[in-house]
Amino acid sequence: MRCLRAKPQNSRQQDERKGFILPGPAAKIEVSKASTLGTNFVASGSNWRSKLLGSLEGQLQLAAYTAVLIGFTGATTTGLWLSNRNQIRNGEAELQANAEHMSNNLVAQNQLGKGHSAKNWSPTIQAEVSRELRDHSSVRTTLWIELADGRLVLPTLGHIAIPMQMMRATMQAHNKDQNTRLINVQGQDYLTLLSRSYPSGEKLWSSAKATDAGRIQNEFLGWMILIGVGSMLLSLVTITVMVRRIVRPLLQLSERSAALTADTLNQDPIPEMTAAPKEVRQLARTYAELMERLALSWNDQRRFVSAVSHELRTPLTIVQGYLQRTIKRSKGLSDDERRGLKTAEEESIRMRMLLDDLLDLSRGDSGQLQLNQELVDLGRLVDKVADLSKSNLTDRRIEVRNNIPNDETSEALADPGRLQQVLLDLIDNAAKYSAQNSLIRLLLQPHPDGIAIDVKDEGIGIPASDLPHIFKRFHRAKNSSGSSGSGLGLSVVALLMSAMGGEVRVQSKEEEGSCFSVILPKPSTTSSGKS
Amino acid sequence: MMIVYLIFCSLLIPVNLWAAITPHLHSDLSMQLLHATSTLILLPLLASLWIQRKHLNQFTGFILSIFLCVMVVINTWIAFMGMGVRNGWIDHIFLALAAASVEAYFLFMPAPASEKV
Repeated sequence: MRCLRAKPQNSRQQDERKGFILPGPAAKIEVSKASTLGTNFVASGSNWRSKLLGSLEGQLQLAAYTAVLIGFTGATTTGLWLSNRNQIRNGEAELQANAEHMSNNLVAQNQLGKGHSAKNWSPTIQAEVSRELRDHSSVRTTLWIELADGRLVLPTLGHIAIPMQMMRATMQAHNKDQNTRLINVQGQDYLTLLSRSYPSGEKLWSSAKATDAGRIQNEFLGWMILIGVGSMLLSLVTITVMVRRIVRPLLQLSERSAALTADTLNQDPIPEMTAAPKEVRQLARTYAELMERLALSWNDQRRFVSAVSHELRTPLTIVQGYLQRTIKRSKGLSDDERRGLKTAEEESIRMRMLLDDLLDLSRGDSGQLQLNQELVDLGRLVDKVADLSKSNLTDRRIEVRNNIPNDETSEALADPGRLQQVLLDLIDNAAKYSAQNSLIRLLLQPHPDGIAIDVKDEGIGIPASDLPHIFKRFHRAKNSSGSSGSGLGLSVVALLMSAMGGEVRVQSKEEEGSCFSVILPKPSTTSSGKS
Repeated sequence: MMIVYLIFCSLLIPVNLWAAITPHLHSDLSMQLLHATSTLILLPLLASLWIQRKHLNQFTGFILSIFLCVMVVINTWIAFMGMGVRNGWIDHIFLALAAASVEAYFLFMPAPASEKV
């Protein structure tokens, strides 16, 4: 069994987030928090999907990154394609112009395109054509003529820029695909062109090494990949920062809202978010106005409950007194009349207790709960409470055990009247949910946080699902439907313990019983006086 | 880890498109690296398709699986054999498409039951 802690002071906000209407007193449940943390870890920590798609921040980041990626990819790919195409076109135009010029010269000299067959290509003509080809070739560019019978007329050069193998490959590639422009031979790119086909069957070919341009482009491509990847990562970081900036005011608003309690409705207004976008500022203003209206409504409700409780208490006390006097003094009452009056008295006592609880809670909420803090001998107080309970609960066995060592003090700082009320409430609660003649133990013992008074019973226990809510106002455990009660008793206990600087914890197992521990700090840790 | 994987996949889309536009400009090693990396990123998607096969639209799952299997086989071969594949630029286009399908699958497919909280 784990011990649940109802923390005093300002920890109530954790428990009151679910509603502002009559929130319960201090009740921060550690077990509940632990399980929530576990779920959160699974939901947001390890689950990338919920992190990326399940939050506004993630979705904005994803949308912005996708837009940047599409834009970047489109722009760079188009740029690269245009650059590549222009480079080929420029080279092609250059080759074509060169070939045209040479072709015109040869045609003008009657050496080409005049209907002479391949056989007519005398060595003299070939030598002249070769010279012409040489004049128009360079280190990068080569022009050659393919005769109708397949022989090649090459430029007369010390060295030919394009190897013979490449020339053959060029011609073969063109035969297969007329659009071939860039041919790769042995790792080198060649921009090649069938510049002109003559009616006599000769073909003028031109080709240029594209390797230099390719090398430059290759280096450029390497840099492009580096810069591109770097730019994308940089844009990712920028997007993350900017999206966080957009979402931060919303998170702040959410955190502020979550931290609001009935007590802080007036004290802790939503701040003006000057740095936030217009829409978020508007949302914050609307929310602040809503909080104001809620605070007004809550204050009205608190005042109403306080006034009604107070006004009803006096007449109820009078009614209760008259009923008691009538039952005691009237001798001529029949059994039925006496039973009826007894029931009326019991109901008036129950109503009085309910009003007392409401009044206490109302005072606690408005900070008007008066306490007379003093050093209390807890051993003596527990004995006194046990005696009182024994006289009231004749059908329960009440056992007291004091485990405080003799050399240690059993004194603690508390309001004796309120502490007695707390213990009586807990004993009453224990008796309510346990069988006749069952044992209720009061155990006084040292505790790391001070001194603890345990109230243990052998009752029906509290279901695990109810434990985190057991100190909330009007909350009743699922298995308590057979017993009367308003659901305020334990919240008053928690409120009073919180006000006295102590706390109340509960351990329980269904069908085995419950143990409520009232823990008071040691005298040295707090000062005495009224609060 | 998954987010880093998705970012990496997204970066392979433009790189493959650039490779498609500039054939034979990159070195043999860089080409092999690109094909190998582009193949490796497809494996988690293939594994996920197999694991989640009962929760996926059968037609989409089948087509995607076939496409990915073909891509993995072809590109593993290219990664080992090196450059010289005719119309290799088409393969880069398909690799960019495969990387985009990795993104689309993991981002837009419904969350598997095991991941729902």
